Amino acid sequence: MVQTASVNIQKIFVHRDEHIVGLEVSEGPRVKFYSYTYYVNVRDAWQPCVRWDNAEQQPHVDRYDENGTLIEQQHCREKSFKEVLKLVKIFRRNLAAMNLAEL
Amino acid sequence: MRVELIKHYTTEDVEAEIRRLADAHGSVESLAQKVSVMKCGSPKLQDELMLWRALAISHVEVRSSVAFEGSEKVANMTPARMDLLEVIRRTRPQSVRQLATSVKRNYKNVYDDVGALCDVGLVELVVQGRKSRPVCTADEIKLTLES
Repeated sequence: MVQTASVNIQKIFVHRDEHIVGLEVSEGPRVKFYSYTYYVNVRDAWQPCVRWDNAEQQPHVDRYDENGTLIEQQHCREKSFKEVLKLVKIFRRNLAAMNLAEL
Repeated sequence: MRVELIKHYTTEDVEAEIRRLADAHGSVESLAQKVSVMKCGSPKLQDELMLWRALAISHVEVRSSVAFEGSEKVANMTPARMDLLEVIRRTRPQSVRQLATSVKRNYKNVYDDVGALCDVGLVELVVQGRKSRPVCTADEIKLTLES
């Protein structure tokens, strides 16, 4: 049987200095891997702020400091790009200080 | 309002992306090693690893899009610039000067319009020696009015 996959790479600028990069790898209708990373522009460099992904089939959310260093990782339920976009548009940079696992 | 620029990868695009990843990281295994050492420390590396693994699958469809929220970007898309975009996509000019000649327009005006299309992300200037070749980055533009 021929193995088929589809990759969806999305970048959405929610503001001039803020964007989300989404990567979804699907096999048939099933999303096998996803990652949605919210980046902010800090001193002319794009730094990750919050990232939701399901690496190794473990849905989790990562929080980064303003230098892009990972500071916290928490389990959370699976997210879709639409949900992440909604959260980012509502909370924007405040996400960095919120309890992300509960969102 | 959301403006979305969409590109569907051809086989050549997929091969070019794999070459870019190989030039940057050597092999999938060495990238996987880097990612496992850094855990989730670098989102970009982790995404590149997942992308590379997916691209290695024999039949892969890749869709890439860049979207902008708000109407500010739409203001830059004048009819003349959209015409220019179609000419770039259709004729694949080797330089901005060649593009200006083919549309019979003043070089400076065409250069300015290409710059505006670059700002929006619709065109990329690929430097080849002393020339800059304009390349169209999207094959679909979607305008969504949010309800």
